[in-house]
Amino acid sequence: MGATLLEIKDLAVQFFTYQGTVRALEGVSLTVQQGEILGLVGETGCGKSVLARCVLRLIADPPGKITAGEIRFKGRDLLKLGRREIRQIRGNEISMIFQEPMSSLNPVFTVGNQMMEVVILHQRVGRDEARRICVDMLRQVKMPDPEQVLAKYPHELSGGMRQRAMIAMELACRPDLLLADEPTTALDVTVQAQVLSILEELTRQSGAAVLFISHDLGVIAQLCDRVAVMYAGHIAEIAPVAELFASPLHPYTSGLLQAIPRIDEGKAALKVIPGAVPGLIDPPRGCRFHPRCGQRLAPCDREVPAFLEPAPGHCVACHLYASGGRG
Amino acid sequence: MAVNGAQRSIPEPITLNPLFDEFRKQYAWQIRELLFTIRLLRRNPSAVAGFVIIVAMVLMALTAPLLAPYNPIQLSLVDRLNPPCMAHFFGTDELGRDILSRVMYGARISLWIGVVVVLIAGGLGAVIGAVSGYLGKGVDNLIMRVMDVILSFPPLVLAMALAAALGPSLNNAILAVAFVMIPKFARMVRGEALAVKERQFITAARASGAGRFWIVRHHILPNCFSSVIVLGTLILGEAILIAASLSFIGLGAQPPTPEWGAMISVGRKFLMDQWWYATFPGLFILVTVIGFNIFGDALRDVLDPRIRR
Amino acid sequence: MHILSYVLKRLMYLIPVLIGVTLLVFVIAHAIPGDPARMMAGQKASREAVENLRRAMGLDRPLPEQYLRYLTGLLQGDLGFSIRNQRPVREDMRDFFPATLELSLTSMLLCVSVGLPLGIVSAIWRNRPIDHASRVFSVFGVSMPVFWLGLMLLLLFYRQLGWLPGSGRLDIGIDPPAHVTGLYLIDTLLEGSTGKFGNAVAHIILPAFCLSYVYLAIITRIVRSSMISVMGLDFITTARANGISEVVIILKHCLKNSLIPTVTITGLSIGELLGGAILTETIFNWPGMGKYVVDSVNFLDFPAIMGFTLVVALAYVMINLAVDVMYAFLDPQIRY
Repeated sequence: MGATLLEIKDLAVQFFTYQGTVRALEGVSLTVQQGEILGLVGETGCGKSVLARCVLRLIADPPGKITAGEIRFKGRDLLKLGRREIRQIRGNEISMIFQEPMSSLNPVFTVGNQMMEVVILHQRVGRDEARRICVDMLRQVKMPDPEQVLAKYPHELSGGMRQRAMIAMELACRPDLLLADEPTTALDVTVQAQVLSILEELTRQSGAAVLFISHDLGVIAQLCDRVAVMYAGHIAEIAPVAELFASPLHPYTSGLLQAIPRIDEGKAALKVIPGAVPGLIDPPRGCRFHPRCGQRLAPCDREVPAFLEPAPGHCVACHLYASGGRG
Repeated sequence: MAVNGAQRSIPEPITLNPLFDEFRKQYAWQIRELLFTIRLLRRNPSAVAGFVIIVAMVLMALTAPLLAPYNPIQLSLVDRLNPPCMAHFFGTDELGRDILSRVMYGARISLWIGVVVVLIAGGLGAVIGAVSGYLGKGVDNLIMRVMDVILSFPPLVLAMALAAALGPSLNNAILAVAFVMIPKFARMVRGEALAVKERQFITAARASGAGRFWIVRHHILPNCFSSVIVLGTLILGEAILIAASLSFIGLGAQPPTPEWGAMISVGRKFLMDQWWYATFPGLFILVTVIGFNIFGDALRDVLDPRIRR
Repeated sequence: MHILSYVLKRLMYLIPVLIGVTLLVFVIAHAIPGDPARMMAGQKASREAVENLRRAMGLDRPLPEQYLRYLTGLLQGDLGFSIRNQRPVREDMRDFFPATLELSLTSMLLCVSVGLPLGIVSAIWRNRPIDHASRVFSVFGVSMPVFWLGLMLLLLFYRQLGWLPGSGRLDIGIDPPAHVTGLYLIDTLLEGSTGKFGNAVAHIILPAFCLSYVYLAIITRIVRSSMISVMGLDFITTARANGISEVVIILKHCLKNSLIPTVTITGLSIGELLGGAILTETIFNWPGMGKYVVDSVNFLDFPAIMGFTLVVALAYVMINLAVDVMYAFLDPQIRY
């Protein structure tokens, strides 16, 4: 864990649709340190994927637009880079793996073709050298028969193998940061464990940082060093993983943790957070969680809570911790 | 026996066979969907444009006997081959007949052709497709092979062969074009029937003892209604084109019928020096078919379940 | 290996369709009013001569047997006997086929070389002016009466501007090139007569454009819509996230995926071109099969009409098979 690798400051993203303007992200700030695995957790629709795509400027404009904020990577603001410069970073210094292995690879080209394309583009090596690198990477992700796999088409591989091929492809250029957008959600549980362990091993080995997005708190607990919790386009809480699970500060986080059925508890009814996730065209004023919060205070429906640090390394955006409130 | 007011029971409404209730409920829903469709269409510029063109042509066709300046078959050997002028907006033909009037009457013929072709091809094609899709297996295989055979011919070629065999006349041309269009409807409705077949209410209907043809008539066909309408609109335009082509070759409408294609066929002889003869009827074919095409396209987009939110 | 079994499977499916096609043509031919034997023999032939001819043609046998005779004749290449030209239809076809082939190929070339880029450009710059322009162009194309378009083109380029000739494959005074392929554009080059080549080009421009207009519109639309749907797929995002440039994404990743529906429609369009050629060749006096069949219609030469119909249908079916095979090459998932 070293210096700050990625710093997102006050990011705001909007999508323009027929129904109205979706305020997908607002005031989002977080950092990723070199070599750490930062988890990003939240329900479907909270903006986790949007956040990850912003880093690589993959938001389609129209209908989306980054309206405010900066994203500093190794000192440079990614949002201000030219097209060629951002292309040089993609797949090279920052890589991304996606959720659906079925559809994330081009069905009409072989796996080898697609992998080598990326390697040749960024490493500027010949085909033979690129091939060697790819086979080596496939071996590292424990792919059986790596040479054969290069000649196969994506539909000839299983879901787990496809995801491993994707990991191999994205790590082939030794990126400093890997954005993993729910990479195991679409996989069977047994395959999930395999892929996660490969991911962890390879990134620890190479020293790459990982922004690991998931809605599965169990996986996050296993894998990550620190965790950020998102709700409806805002960051609710960021903390080291053990501390988050042991003493969550934000009411949403506690609600989430309580909602997970546990093996060691009795057969009590599941505790759900009342209400539903708000639509983002007309989100609640102030703290977006306030309509569902059991610990609502006066300012919650008027002011957006500031990002505070009540304990070292543990940040939360909640009026409960504002000076004068409960500590 | 009622004990106190709160427990007095309201007599149960008499429910007929649950199938009829389902059908009645379906009806109300259909009307709501229709109004929603119309609202979406009004906001779509190509739908509006297409609709305006169609209405204009229909009006022209309907009011031709009233509004046409001249009798379309009235000869006037003095006024032969006059260029467009105040008296004759579109000029006159080789027998002195006013081309504008003939074009207006031509609209009646072309629209009539289009409507009849769509009714025949759509009606037969939808039934064939629904039966084929619902019955499945051997019957489906056989019927679809037959449809494939018909589709193995370029439409104009087959229509031409049929019209030639039956004899050159407008009615034969209509039959020929309708025959060629049947597989398009059949294929589409079959696809829909295959999808609808698996839904719950079909199983419910069968469990209530409904016969196969009853199901096809009352459940499968109504569900294909909107796609048949869309396809019908597009095919209407295509039918007008093919029929005009047949007349151009000499196989459809015969003189002195003022059908647009037939007029162009004669006008071709005078093309170089009397450009107006062939130009105006063709222009009207173009505009009419454009109208049906853009309206049909807009209709298809509007009815697409993904776009309807 | 897999491709072979796929092709065989498609071929097996074809056979009943081919039989069905011959059956349909046979049935239509028998709906023709009038007595074919008398038509062949002529109005002045005696009753006896007509009866002899009828027996010789097998017209007194039961229908299924006639159909079998017809089928066996077909397999030997017998397409009937043209009443108008008094020779086998097969020979007529042989004479007129090259001109139609040349026109169709030129049109197809035009369609693809203009339609493909136009469709791609429309997809990339969706909803911008060029897209709207090409969509208007497409609507016109699909709604256009081909024969009217030809006449308007003649009016403009031949009558008004005098830039291009109005009929035939070459100017009247010029002799055709030595016959190698039957395609003047190629034969004139092979012969080295560039003057004739230029003349042939001038003559083919208008009919080729006229014929291709409709399918150009269709191809543009298909390319546009399939490119748009491919561009929204996940693996395109992956490629972009890997730093691949937009140009490569469009030309490599998108295009190959959207070629599948494009090739299908192009293949089907070739068949329709054969139909549209009927009208175009008539307008431009192009001595091909299309004009041949229209002349046959006017003469009521039924064997010729049926022969033409059959040949066109068979060609269409074969082209569809070729398209299916190409499908297997383009889409690895089809090969199972």
